[in-house]
Formats: sequence, structure tokens, C-alpha cells
Amino acid sequence: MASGVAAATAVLVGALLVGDSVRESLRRQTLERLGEIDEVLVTDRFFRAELVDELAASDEFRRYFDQASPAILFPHGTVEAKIETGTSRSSSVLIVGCDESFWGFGGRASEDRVRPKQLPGEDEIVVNKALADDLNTTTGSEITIRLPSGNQVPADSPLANKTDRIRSIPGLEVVDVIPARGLGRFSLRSSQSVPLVAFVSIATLQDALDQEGKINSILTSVNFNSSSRSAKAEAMSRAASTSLAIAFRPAFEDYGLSVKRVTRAFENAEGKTETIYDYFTITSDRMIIAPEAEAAARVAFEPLRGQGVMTYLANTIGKEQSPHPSPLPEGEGEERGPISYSMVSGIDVSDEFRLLDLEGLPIGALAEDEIVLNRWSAEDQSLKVGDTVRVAYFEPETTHGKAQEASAEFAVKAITPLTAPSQPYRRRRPAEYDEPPTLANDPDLTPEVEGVTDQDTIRNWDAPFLVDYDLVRSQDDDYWGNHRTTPKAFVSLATAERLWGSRFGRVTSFRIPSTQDTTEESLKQAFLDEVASSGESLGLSFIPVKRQQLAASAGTTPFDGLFLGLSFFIIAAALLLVLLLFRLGVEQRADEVGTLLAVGLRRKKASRLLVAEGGLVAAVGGIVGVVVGVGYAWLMLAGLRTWWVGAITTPFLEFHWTTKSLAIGYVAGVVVSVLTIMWSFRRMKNISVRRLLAGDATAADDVLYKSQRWLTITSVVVVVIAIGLAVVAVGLGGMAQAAAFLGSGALLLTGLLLLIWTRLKSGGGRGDDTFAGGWALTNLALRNAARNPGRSVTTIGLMATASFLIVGLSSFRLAPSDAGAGGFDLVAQSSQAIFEDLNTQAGRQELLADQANVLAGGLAFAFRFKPGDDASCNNLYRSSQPRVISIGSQFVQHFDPADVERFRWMKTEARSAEEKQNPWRLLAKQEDEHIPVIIDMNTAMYSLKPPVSVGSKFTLTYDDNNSVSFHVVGLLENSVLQGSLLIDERAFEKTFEEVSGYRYFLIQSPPGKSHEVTELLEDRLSDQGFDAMQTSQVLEQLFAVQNTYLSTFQTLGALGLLLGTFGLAAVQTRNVLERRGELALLRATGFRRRRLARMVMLENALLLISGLATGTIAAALAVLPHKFTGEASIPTELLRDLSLMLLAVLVVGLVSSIVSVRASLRVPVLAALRGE
Amino acid sequence: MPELVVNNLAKEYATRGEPLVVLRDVSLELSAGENVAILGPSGCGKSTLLHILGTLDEPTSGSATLQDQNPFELNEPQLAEFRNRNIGFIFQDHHLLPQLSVLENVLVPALADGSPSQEEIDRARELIERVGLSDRSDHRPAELSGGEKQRVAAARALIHKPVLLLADEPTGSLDRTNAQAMTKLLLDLQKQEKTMLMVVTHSMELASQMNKRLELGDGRLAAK
Repeated sequence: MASGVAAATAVLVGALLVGDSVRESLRRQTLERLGEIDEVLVTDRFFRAELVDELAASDEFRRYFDQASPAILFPHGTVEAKIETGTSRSSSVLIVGCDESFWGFGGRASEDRVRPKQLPGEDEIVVNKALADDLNTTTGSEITIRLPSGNQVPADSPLANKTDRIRSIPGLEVVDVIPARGLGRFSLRSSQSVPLVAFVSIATLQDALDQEGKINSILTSVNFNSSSRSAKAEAMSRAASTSLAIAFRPAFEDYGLSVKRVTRAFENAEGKTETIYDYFTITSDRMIIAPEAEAAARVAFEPLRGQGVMTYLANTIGKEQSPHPSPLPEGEGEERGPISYSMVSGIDVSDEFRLLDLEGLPIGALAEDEIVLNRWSAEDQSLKVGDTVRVAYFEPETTHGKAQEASAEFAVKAITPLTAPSQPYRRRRPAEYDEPPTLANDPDLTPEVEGVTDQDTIRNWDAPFLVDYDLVRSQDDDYWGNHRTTPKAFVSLATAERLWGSRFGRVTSFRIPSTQDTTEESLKQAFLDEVASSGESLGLSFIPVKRQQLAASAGTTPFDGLFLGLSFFIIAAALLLVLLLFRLGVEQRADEVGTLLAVGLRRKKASRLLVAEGGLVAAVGGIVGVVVGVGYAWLMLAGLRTWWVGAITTPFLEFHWTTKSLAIGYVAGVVVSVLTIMWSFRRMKNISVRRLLAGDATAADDVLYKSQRWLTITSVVVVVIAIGLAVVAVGLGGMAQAAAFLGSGALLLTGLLLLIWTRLKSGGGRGDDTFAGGWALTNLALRNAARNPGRSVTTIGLMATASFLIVGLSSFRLAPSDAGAGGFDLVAQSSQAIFEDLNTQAGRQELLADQANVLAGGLAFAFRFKPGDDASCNNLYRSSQPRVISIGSQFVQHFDPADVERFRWMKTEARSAEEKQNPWRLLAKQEDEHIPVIIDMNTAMYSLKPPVSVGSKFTLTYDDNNSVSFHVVGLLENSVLQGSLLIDERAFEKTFEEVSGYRYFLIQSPPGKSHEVTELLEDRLSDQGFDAMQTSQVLEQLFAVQNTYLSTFQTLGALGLLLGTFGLAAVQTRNVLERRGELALLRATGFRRRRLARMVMLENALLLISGLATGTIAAALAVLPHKFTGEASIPTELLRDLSLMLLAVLVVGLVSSIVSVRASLRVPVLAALRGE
Repeated sequence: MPELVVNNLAKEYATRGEPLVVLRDVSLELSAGENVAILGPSGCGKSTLLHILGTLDEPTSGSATLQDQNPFELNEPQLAEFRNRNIGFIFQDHHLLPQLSVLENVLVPALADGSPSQEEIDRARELIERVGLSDRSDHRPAELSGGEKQRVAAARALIHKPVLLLADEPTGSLDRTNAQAMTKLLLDLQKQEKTMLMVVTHSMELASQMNKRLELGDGRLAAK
């Protein structure tokens, strides 16, 4: 009996220790990959490296921190190496630009401390082992890294350069390959997968990116033990975060802003200097001031009468519809046609900016459809006040990098004078005037755009958009020579914001009038004060990365619970053993109990004595169980590192234990066993003292068969319901169908067991000639099984339930299906954004040139991609910031036709027929601040904490404390999109305005060209780190997790079943002992030993086979329709494995029944016949 | 011509000291149609003799032949078959199988070597009729009285028309009326079947109705 208790306790302890081990392994992995790094600042903009020293010098910082180091981090670099067979490439490589101080963050323990033998110098690189293996490279070889090229105009702006966004750093020599542990697996993402990391010097990156003296990250470590689990450490960590936020004081320039005083004065003929304008302009190195900075600037500068300016490029201004000029014969004056490539400023009329008309009268505020032209423009286009003018411009946001032209018409409200210079602009020298310039003579209303505003002629523009040089007339170039970026027209700021404002911002500069007290410094301070008081970080904030990742290491899956569930049958079988063995023990000592009762002990007291005795045995068994449990956990972990590694993706688990788990396992094991013992004793209370004294502790052995009409009816009803449910299930889909089939199978199982029960209860219901016509021994064995129907049905039930679950669960096994991939054969991700539309011929031409036709007849949808945690089953960490993918209208419309292959949905909020036909439409239905989101059900159920379902609303905090609220409108079923949140593209752009371009792709290759398309795209888009995979392969990887859990369950279930067979052997042995008189009689009547053995063996086999068959038949109902509908395929190997598993159980069961057979042969015939 | 011949049969059990002699020099003969009662105090070796003659136990020395065949020369399967075909047992405790009906219980010896033939089934029905239980043939033992159970046991013992019918205290657990009825039934059946009947009993009433009465004392058999 102690062995039974030990088995139960071992399983409990083992499961709890597996949970401990997973949590502690994840935790240690977190501590290992972060070393001493506690808080980090990573941003996509560059700031002064001195900021690190300034931070480190702050008292507030030194209170809790002891180190701050500069770094340049790129989480999505691409690395290439030349190898013998060509070029090997790794994408999504973390590129770390660091100095020696970085390695100071290595773990305190010397075994964790990893640092390169040689720090990378100029043109040198250190890679971790994982990257070296992936690239198939080693020390001494040369590799190339490719990175995004740093601060730029947001790439989705038409004025941004799309082609020069990647910097390559070739010829880097690998000076060391460090092991992928400690800082060698440094990563800011919570994942158990080994990251690919490359380390270079900060200077190498600064040179390559033209960011001298600048960095984009700061790493810090606290001066206390932040890895401690204590509440005090947690509180200190939070206090440290607050302190760090106070200590961190970026300068004005660190926000990418600059301030400049703009003045224009004119010395008139009398030698008197007249100030035309004098103001400070605040601009951004990204051309447009980001919305958060704009909000701070407005508050900071409004008291100083500052005003926002939005200057935008007008492709044409004119009254004519034809955009193209009609050239006149040479030397015959100016060309006709609209004005090309002009600046138009949106600025409100104010006391500080009041344009005058040609009469010298101030121009009033402009209505939305009004425009002020400068004289040059009006004359050029022969426009006068009241005329309508048409302004053509690029839409402020591009889709797939294509600038779309739009236009607006305005009424000319006034014409403002513009003075022509006497000397035009020259390189490094402004224009000179003989006549006094006007307020409109202000090129500084336009922000600087490298390659455009600094060029001498329009024709020299290195423009990010396609300049139509046919539009550029000679007088346009003349204007550029005389006035450069001076606006040719003015509209109200509101109009400019409406037409040209975007998610990247609504103003290009702030214009603050110069006063006596205003200085560049005072303006900077005013801005910084506002930033500090508003609490906005403007993209520069620290993330408590260690605290977050330690919280995430609590894991997505409670492994202890999972393994308790997986070990259910072992526990049940162990308890059954406890029950049987204790009862056998008690029954053997029935005469002792009888004696105790006969001498006057109360039954309660007698039972307490026995229970106490059992408890004592259980206590000892429990101790053995704890020891065995440790071994069991170790074995489970070994399994997870090897056979079941699919469940956890990488073999990283190590054995860890806690006293708490040992104690809980021990107490739970012993208590459950004692309860089982008490329950088993309960059955003895109805046995008379006389019988107990005679050593008989079994229920009366007379068998009375009764009609079981009601039970028969019930069982038939249950079977009918089961079949009904199976019919209903055919109409259901996916998981619901599998669950319904399983439910129907479970009902069928119940029905079958009830039928067996009624049949046994009625003694088989056979006529008088039972033994005629062969099978006599089998019939006799069957009758023997019917002798104690309760015992037999319990045995059959245990076997049946176990085999039912083991077989039935295979219906939940997943195989990649078209519905999981929505009809797409490839899924791809790129390290850098791609702007071209692969669904258009032009886009294909641009990216694939002469190979564009390879994609002909295929589809390639691109998605914006906000990097984040992989919230799929592949990641064991809890994901707090899941990655987000935008769903564009093109993709949604793709699913409108009825005949298109589509994703399978688990549940949606679709109400209308259109929505039901295409639930992707739900994404566009945003009703409040919650963004409609579609999630794969696995992400919704297992990765998000708490789990969400359709209708759930939840809020996540993305970097820079950006809270985003979501509303789940649909759940995809087992899709390739698992691990991400899917939202509408417009909502995405608003929420993650910093994300430009497209990095995620779903591709439907032309039939049979999957491989060719993969090779082509990976080759042509190698700079962008394009990495494509077959959707079936991705699905297989995702499903491997669930499938492996099922394998684990099935294996552990089978183990439990095997343990159950030993219980069965014990039951049979008891049966044999109880019936020894009968067996002796059979011997006396001429039964040979062999025949008797065969009979007992047959009895065992009957119970075993009935159990396994009943369970398998019921499970077949759950599995087979599923297979026939083709919605889940059960691989032949699985069927083979299941059959082998059940066969093994049968064989072990039969072998273990030899015990009872031997017992039957050892029955002393004479003694038994005499009733001794 | 005697069909059962027992010569100088002895049975000893090894103990730590002297061997325990239960039977010594037991000889007897019995012809077809004869019956005999073995009397004696408890522990005198009556049942041991019965079990040896029933081939459930082996003698230490001496011989016993049934229809000129010495069963103790047979191996286990042959011995089982010998027992099945030639010997019928009736015990004090009926040892009916509770899960089987009256008919099935009677047919149990027919299961020792395959399935019962139609002939055997017919004989079982006939025997049940003869023991007066034809209307109870599909009843379970739990639905029968003690006397009825013993009658079923008697029918079971006769299913294969045994040469030798051995009864160990067949009326030991019955009340007087039932015991008398059982005694009559046994004798009637023995007469009808022309079998040899050996009864081990304490009951003088039963013994008095037998052709022969032998008493076992000090391991020896003597006429009474």
C-alpha cells in the first residue's frame, strides 16, 4: 500500500516540481540574458552620448543605480557572411553597438560571465555561437551587417527617402565567437529561444550611420540585488524606476529638435536698418514635429506668442487644369503652365505674422478655402483676387511608398508683395536685396530637407519622390534661384493641417517672435519644463526590462497544473492501487476487526485504528513518494528537453525544486491516500461481526440478478443522445466540432458502460443453454466477471476512460490545413520595412526587375508590423506587449468573394451577412476608444493574461507608456497568424505612428512556384532581411506545441493505464482468493490446472479488452467523423502509435494477470473444499 | 467383481517430530451398485480417505484402483480427466457457483474439457428433474434453500455417470427433514445410476441406510 501512496505522492510532487523548474528556468534565463541590466532606454532616434554621463552624474541616479552605459541597439539587423557555397544570411539579428562597459553588466557569478577575448574594434565584430552557427561562419571570417539608416523623415511620408534607408557595413572581421549564454544571449525580448546577437563597437555604427557622438540606447543597472523575489526588492525596483525618470533629463536636441533665430533686416537708402522679421523657429530633424512634441511646444510657446507653421510641397499651383507646361520656342519668354514644386505655408494671421496686400493693407484671417499668393505667383499665373486657384500636392501619407497626388481649390483672397533679390542665392550665401524684402520673403518658413532644400536648382533635387522634370519650367528654377524655399502661397494653419497633417505630425515648425527676453536657451528650457511637468517622455523613456521580464517568466502556461492534468491517470491509478491494496489488507485482517468489535470496541474506533495505521503507512509511503517524485520530475524534464521538446521549442529546462512544492506534494499525496483509505473502510461497516470473525470482510457472495430495466432504458437514451450530438457536431466547425465529438464519445462511453453494467447485473441475460455451442470457457469467464458487477465495471470503466481519452484526444491533434493559412502558401517577415506593393506590376517591377513575372498570377499582401512579444504557443513567457499586425483594406476585400479560400474562424462578432461572410470587415468597425482586434484563439486563450474571448476588452501598454485598448471582434482558429494582434491599418497608423512601411507578408504563390518565389524574394530583398517560410511549416511548428502536449498526455496516460493494469491484477488476485472454494470445486470436478489458468486469464482479458474496446469504440466516434470530414487528419503513424500503446497495455495487463493466475493455481484444493 | 479395490493404503504427513500417520493399512473393496458409509470421530482421517479415493490427494503408500486403473500413475491432465469421467463429489458445503443458474451449475463438470454436448445438457435437465428442481433450473443458488443447493450439487456430481460417487458429510449442514430427503435422494440416485457410493458422515441416521458401514479409528478401517 505504501507503494501506492508513494506513486500518488510522486506524481503530485513531480508535477509541482516541473512547474517550479519551468518557472525557475525561465527566470534564470531572464537573469542570464540581461545580466545586471535593469532598465533600458531604446529608441529609434539618436541622441547625444553625453546624456549617459549626465545621467550617471545625477544624485538621483546614484541613489539606486551604479552603472549607465551607452549603446546602439538594432533588434532587426541582417547579417550576411560569405561561405563556400555562396552567401549565408541571418535576419532579425540583434546588433549591439557597445563599449567595454557593456560587459560589466555580465553576471556576478563567474560561470555566467561571458565576454569576448577581444573587444571588437573598427571593422571588427563579435558574434554569439547561435549566430555563428546560423551563418555557418567562424572567427576570422568577414561578414556584412545591414541596418536601418537612423534618423529620417518618417518613411511613409511622400517627402521621405525610401531607397536609402538601409546602411550596409561590409568587411567586418569576426574576432571572436562567444557562447550563447550570459550576455552572449543578450536580448530585450522575453523568449526562451536563443537570440542571434552580433556585437560591434559604438564607433563603427556611429561612422556607418553618420551619427557621430550619438547613440540610441542607454543600459543601466541598480546597486541592489534586483533578482531577489522579496517584496522589498520589488518596492526598491519601483522606487528606482521613479528615481531614474527624475534623474533622466534629455536636452532639447536629444528630442531631435533645433531652435534657430531667423532675422531679416534691410538697410534703406538712408542707411536706416529696418527689421522685416525677427523670430525663433523650432524645427525637427524629421521635418515634421511629432504630435507629442507639438503638444508640449504649443503649451510652452503659446505664452510667448509662438505659432505653428505647416509648410508643404505643392506639386503645382495654377488655374489651368493641364499640369504640363507648353514650351514656347526658345528665347520667346516664359513657358506657360502651372507653377511647379512650390512651398505653401499654413500659418494663421496674427499680430506677429500679418501679411500685407499689394495696397499695403493687412490681410485678414483666411477662411478654409482661401489662399494668399505672393506677387510672383499671381503674376506668373495671371491670377487676381477672387480667382480660383488649384493646388496639387502629394497625400501626406503613402501606401506602399507610392505618393498619391491630390488637389484642392482655393479662392485668391489677396496677393502679397514679394521682393525680388538683386543678387540671387549662391551656395553658402543668401540673396541680397536692393528693395526692402517683405514678410513673405521668408525661406525659413520651410524646414530643411536634406538633398532638397540645400540644392541650387530644382533639377538637382535628390528627391524621395518622383520629380516630374517636365513640370519644371525655367521660371520655376529662376524662383528657386532667387527665393529658394520661400513659400509661394499661404493658407490658414487649419487648412494646412487638414490637407497635409498626418499621423507623423501637423506642423513643421514653431514660429516664436523674438523679444528682449527670448533666447534660444530660454525657449529650450521652456520646452523642457513643459515636457517635465507633462510627464510625457517623447519617445525617450526607460523600460524596467528586468522587472517586466521576470514578471513574464511567471510563464504563459501553469506547468504544474498542466502536468497534474497530464498525470491524472497515474494519480487515479495510484489511488486505485491504494484503495485496492488497503482493502485487501483490511479484508485479510477481517478476523482482527471482528475480534476488536466483539470485545466491545465501537466500529468508529476500530476503523480509526485501521485508518491511523493506514495513515502511518501512507506517511512513510509519502516520504518515498517525495524522493521518487524528484526523480519523476527529473525524467519529465529530460523528456521535455528531448522527446517532447516541441512543447517548449528549445531544450532549456533545468531541474529546480522548492520546499513548498515538496511539502504540498507530500501533504496532498498523504491526505488523498488517507481519504481513500477512509472511503475504502466505509464499505466494511455493513458486514456483521460474525462474518468478520469468520475472516470474511467481503459483501455477501450470493449473487442475485435482477432486471435492470430502468438502467437499460437510461443507457439506451444516453447512447441515442450521444449519436444525436455526433450528428449535430457534423455541422459545427473546428474546436467546437472536436469538443462536440469528444462529448458525444464521452456520452457513448457512459452509455456503453451502463449497458455493460446492466448486462452484468442481469447475469448476462442468457438462457439455459449458455454453455452450448463452444466458447464455454469464455462464457464461464464472462459469468465470473458478472459475479461482482461493481468491481468489474469499475475496472472496465477505468480502462475504458483512459483508453477513450488517450485515443479521443488524438482528434485534437492538429495538422496544417489550408484554412489555417487562409489559402496562402508563404508567410514572410523582413528586418527592414519594404514600401513597394508586391501586388502591383509596378511594385513587382521595382523590387524584382526582370523576374517580376515569377509572381504573375499570385498574391502578396503586405502588413505593417509593430515588433513585440511572440504571443504564440512557441513562447513560454507571458507576453505583455504582443506584436501587432495591420490589416489593410486590400487584404479585407480579398475575402469578399464567396469562392476564395479563407481562414477558419472560431468565433466572431459578425452580425450582418456581409460580416459573417467576411469577418475581417469587423476590424473597421471601431465604436469607441477600443480598437477592434482579431486574434488567434491560442493567443487569446493561452498567451494573453487574463485570457480573452470575443467581446473582451483589454488594454496593453506599449513602449513609451502608450496604453492601447482593444476589443476582440473575432478569433481565428489555429491560424498562421498566431502570436499577433491584428488590427485595422488606419487604427494601426494612428496607434503606432512611428511604424512605417511593411514588414510582414502573406503570399499566395502562382501554382507550383512556392519555392521559386521564396528564393527570388529572399534574394532580391536580402538587404531588407526578407525571410519567407512555407505556411504549412509555420503551422507545423505552432501545432507542434499542442501536439507534443497531447503526446505527453497520451504517454503519461498510457503510463497511468499500465499502472492501472497492476491494480487490475490486484483485483483479480482478490477475486481468485475470494472464490478459492469454487476454484477448488472446479479442480475436483476435473478441471485441469491449465484450463483453470486459462479461465482466470480469460476473465482478466475480458475486463481488459472490454475496457480498452469500449473506450476505443467511444473514442472512434470522436475521431473518425473528424477524419472523414478532412478537417483534422490523424496521421497513420499516430494510429500505429495508439494501437501499439493499447496493445502494450493489453500485453502488460495480461502478463500482470499471471499473478492472479498463479494464485488460482496455488489454491489448496482440499483446504478450500473444506472451507478452511 | 469389485470395481474399487483399496490395498494397504497409508497416509502420513511430515511434521517436525514423528510423521503424523492419518491412515494405515486401509483396505476395502466395493462393487458397482454398492454403497458404504465411513464413520469415525472428527480428525480420524475420513475425509483424507475420501479425497485420496477421489484423487484429490495421494496416498503415502498402498494402492487404490478403480475399474483396474491406478489413477496415481497418471499425470495431472490425465488425472483431471480421470476424475472428471469417473468420480462424482458431493461436499458438505455445496460449492455451487453463485453466478450460474441451476442448470449451468450441473453442467460445470462438462466444461472441464470444452463445451457441453447436447447429450450432456439433456442429462443435466433429466438429473434436475430427478432431484425435483425442474421448475428451478434457471434459478441462481441465492434463490435456493440449503437442501435444494445440495440437491443441485448431487445432480452435478452425477452428470458424467461416475463410477464412484463420493459424499463428504452431505447432510452435515442440513436440518433433519432435509437431511432425510437428501439421504433418500442419494440412495435413489445411486440405485438408478448403479454407481458405487461412499459417504463420509457423522450421522448414524445416514449411515444406517447404507449397505456397509466402516469405522475409521487410529487410522485403520474396521467394520461396524
